[in-house]
Amino acid sequence: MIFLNVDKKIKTIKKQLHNSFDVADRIVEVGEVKVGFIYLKSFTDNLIFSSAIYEPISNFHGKLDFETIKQLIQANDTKEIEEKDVLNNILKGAVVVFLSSSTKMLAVDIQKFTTRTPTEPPTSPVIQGPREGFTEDIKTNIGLLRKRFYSADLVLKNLSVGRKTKTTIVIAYLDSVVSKKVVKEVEKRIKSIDIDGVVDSYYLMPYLISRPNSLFKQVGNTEKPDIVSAKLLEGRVAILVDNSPMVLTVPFVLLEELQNPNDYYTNYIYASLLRFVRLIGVFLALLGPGIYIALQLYHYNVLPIKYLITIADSTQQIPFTPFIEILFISLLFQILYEVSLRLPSYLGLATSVVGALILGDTGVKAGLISPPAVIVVAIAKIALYTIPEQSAQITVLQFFFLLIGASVGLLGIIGGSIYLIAYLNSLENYHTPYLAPFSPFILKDNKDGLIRTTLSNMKERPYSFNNQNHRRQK
Amino acid sequence: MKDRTINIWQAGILLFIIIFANKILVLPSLLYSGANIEGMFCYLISFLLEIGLITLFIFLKRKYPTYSFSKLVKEKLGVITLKIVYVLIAFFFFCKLILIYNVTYIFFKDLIYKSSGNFLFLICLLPIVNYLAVCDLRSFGRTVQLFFPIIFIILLFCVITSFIGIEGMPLFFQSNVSDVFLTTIKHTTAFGDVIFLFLFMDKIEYKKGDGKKLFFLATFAMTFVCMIMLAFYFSYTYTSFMHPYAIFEILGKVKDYGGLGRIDVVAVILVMILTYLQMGIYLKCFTLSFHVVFPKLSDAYALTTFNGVFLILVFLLIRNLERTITYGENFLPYLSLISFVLIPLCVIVFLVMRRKKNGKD
Amino acid sequence: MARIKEYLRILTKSPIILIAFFIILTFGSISLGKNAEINQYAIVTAIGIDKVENSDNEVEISLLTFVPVAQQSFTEKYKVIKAKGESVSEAIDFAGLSLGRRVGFNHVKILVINEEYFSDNASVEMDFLVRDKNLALSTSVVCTDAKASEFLEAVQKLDSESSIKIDDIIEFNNEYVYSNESTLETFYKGLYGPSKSSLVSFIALSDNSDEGVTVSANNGEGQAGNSGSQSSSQSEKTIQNDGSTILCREGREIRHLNSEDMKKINFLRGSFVRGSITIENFSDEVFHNARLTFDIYESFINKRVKFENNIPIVNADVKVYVKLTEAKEDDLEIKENVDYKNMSEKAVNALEKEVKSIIKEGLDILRENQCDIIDVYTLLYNHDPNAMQNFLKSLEDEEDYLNHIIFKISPQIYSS
Repeated sequence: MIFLNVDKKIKTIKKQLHNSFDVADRIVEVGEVKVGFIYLKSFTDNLIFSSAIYEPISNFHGKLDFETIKQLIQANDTKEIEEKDVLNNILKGAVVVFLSSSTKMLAVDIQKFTTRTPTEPPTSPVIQGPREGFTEDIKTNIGLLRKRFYSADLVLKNLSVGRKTKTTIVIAYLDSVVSKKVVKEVEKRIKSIDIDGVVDSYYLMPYLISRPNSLFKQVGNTEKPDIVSAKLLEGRVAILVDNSPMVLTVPFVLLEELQNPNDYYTNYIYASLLRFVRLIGVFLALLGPGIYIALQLYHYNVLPIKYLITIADSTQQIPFTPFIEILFISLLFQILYEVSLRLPSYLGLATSVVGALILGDTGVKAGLISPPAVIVVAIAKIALYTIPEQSAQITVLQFFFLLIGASVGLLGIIGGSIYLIAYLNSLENYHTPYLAPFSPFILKDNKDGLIRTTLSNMKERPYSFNNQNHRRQK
Repeated sequence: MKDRTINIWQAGILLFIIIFANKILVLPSLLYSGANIEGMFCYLISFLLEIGLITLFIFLKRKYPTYSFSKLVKEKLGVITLKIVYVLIAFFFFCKLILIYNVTYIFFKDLIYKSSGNFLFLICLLPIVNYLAVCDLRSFGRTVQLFFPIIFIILLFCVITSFIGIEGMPLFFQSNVSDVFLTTIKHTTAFGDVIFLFLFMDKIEYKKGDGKKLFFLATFAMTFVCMIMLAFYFSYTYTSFMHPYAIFEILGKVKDYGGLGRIDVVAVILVMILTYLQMGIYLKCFTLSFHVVFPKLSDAYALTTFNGVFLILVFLLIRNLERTITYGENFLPYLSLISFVLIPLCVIVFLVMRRKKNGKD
Repeated sequence: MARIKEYLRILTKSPIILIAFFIILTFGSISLGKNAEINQYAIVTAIGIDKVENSDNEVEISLLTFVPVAQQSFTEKYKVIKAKGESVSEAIDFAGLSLGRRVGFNHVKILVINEEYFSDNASVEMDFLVRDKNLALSTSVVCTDAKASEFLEAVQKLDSESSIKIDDIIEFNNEYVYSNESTLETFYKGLYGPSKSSLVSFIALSDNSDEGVTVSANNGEGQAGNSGSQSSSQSEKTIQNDGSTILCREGREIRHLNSEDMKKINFLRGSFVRGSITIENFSDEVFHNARLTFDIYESFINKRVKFENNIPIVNADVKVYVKLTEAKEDDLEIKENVDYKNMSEKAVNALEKEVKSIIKEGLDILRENQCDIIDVYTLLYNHDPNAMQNFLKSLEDEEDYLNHIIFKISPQIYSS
């Protein structure tokens, strides 16, 4: 008895896929039953198709029915699907099998991509510690996470986002640790996304936060599985996106940017010192040029006489006003930075020579820029990269403070700082204040704040995240 | 914007700043001129009055944990009294804003800005202060909490550095009791700002035993003020009247600190931070009072009214320091009646009415 | 019109654009055109005040000003600018005019006043400077016998020819000679205090270029990388520091004190760390008719006051730590214990006697001139204000109280 016209079915599906070049189909007759296979040859494993699906079926001698086919197929991921799910499964790398003697259909997942091996990500180098990094394949990423949690507590929920791309999103969390409210909110936000396609995890960021127009990063991101594991243990939720090596974590606090994976693989006193150095670097980067220009324009009386003489002598012949001079130097640095990002490596040396010697040294000798200004801007730009993840934000704020310092002096810089702190304090996502644990001050969380205590002392999870279970160790 | 609550530590730090900020600039020198070193007692007497206000607040908060002050006044004294009380409170904070701006403008202009006019200060101060006034109270509380260690460290630095430079003793017992009281009355303008606690009564989370934290922080602030005054009087003794800006002058004795030159800029930075935070809380109080008087008008109206009137008055009223002090001594002490008489009177009336009600029951 | 409406709709929908536009326009326009304040103010490092000859009121101001030079070698160039006026403020205005800049006092280290001003109340001339908030009251005050302008020129010459700075000399004096600072603040503190007395450091100028603080004879230019300075000074006079001070009462010079006089007074003032005590013709088990010089390492005084029958008594315990630094004897044999660590009782007694006599001489200087530099008045007043007031009322001349106070000095000598 014929329930399904296999040829017609294949034709219909191929038409739905616009007869794309990579659509492959096979039909085999086993006795009176016709079996049809349709799949995308660009990302299915042809070897597995032949050995595990086609051959067992084509070599079968007997009465073939749906249940028999299920047993014949020697692949792990086999499931019965509805008519409406056929296209989705084909597009996700499955082989859809149907029989003329049955209306049921089977999807066998034999997806195979060329993907890179997990290597150390360039954004988070470490001196000691694991060097694995996430890749673009979500299955590999899930595997990297799973092998760090040999426990049933790790929950992975699958979602799909993007009308055209139907990108797989996986939410990961520890069931006995995380706050259920946070998980619900994350799910709700992701499900409410109505977008064409998700190319990278960065696309999801604006939808996960309450103030998407803000300059400040409100979602954590990392390429390292050990960091994600640590964050899960603290009570956060991780969001893995297919085709993106960058995993997102929420809730996010600004303190995370001061912390570095190296801090946990080295002595705690040294790690604390490094955090202070990073903080000083941030202040230098943010406020250095602004304070310099404010002192020069409004408050020369604050400068000691020796520095004053140096600045006065060196700025005598500069044709620009101090603000234009600093702006010019900052822009030069920014242009050099942009160029160095985009140039091939063999041209990098030439750019460095041009930047350092010609623009820097010759500019000073020609009297276009003054040495103190070059030093101040150079220190600020270098200090920017003590926290490279926030370099974008700090760069923008650097210009902001430069403008404020040049127009209203120290009063403006202090005012700008107060405004910045007040604004950051108003940011709150997933019931977690942005500046926790400094503001509001949570004493227990400060064991891993600016100062890092020994790992044996960190007996509780951070209170900033409304966890269910605060106890880490006895 | 609907304000969220703040915890008792944040309220206490706000209290610390309010108690501290007014008293470290011109007040020590003025108190010395009036009552020599016994000017310290003038400060302590006024501080006791402020402690009285804090006690009243704690008492009210315990009795009416979820009530706001406006709701209490409305229920117990009626709508018209509510409007009158809040108009006076709005006026109080408005005058304080003008006074603080006046004094700090002259201070900054004298010492660190030379050729800048009002315009520069206004475009710098007003936007930030307006933002602080409209931002959520919890964000404001957290901001103040974050700045507190910086303020504390700078204060400690000022006090320790100043004590190093002390050489001699001032003359004690040169003034009598009447001098002390007259001077206290003349300078009550600098006190009484703790009534902001009443305005934010319903926004402060209060648990049993939290009153001690408020008293602790208030006393802590008082201690610092006393230390600065002592350092000032002991550093300058007979010439204290020549130095109008105490916190700045006590650092001025250090000639060359580690090759960094004069370090009195640290005091200027402290005053800048305190000015912003203080003006922010005062404007918040003004906005709240305005909203109570005109409930249908939003915060934007309050700020527009404030900014408009402020800009006009600032250009008319800004004079030199001596004139400001004269106004402060002759006219503005009446302002303190609002904080030291009106508010306690309201609270006493609540008590009496409550008792009567209980008696009837 | 529709387009304008569309733009307005976008702006009101996202006010951040409006705010950013406003900020950049306002602040940007202010900052782009603003020039550095350094170029608008003259940086003055020293001020001199002189009386103009043949004139009652006229004042001559000299300002040692830094002159910025467009160069890479960071050398300091100073110039002495002079200006006259009916008052100090007027003279400074004229000085600013001649420089073409406003005068900024934030970096002034010393104020030099001609000795003539101290023949009357010198604070009258300093009034303008005290009211200027930019001039720190910790500015050193120096009195000189020569013209203040010549002094500044000598300072300029000293800066240009050596790395010895006038600040170093003054600091040395403050620490080792006066045991206190001679600043505007201390001058006014003394003036407004009960004793109305103050000490002002005195540094002379010598016509003889072989004397005073000189280094080499060549007129060296500053070298790149060193903080040397270029000089256009014509002064041949040199600074001569001999540790002198002038004792002032009500701003007027009462007496010129040399370094020995200061040493005597310093025992009474508090702690100090310089000086020596010499005992002549000393004999004990170790020495015979020797002249011993002991260096004073440290000296402390503890004053305890009381009133007996309305008369104030000051008990001063003076602890002096000394070390033998020189022994001069005609037939001195080399002894084993030459550093004299354990001083003999005789030596201690001799030293105590010497210290007592030195302190008495210092007290006599203060009593003669009715200058209570040691601030005994405050001690007594704070101890018992009523008794002090009664005591003062009982005197014919209230300002002569120092002569009627009984001092009981108890020196204690220790070997350091």
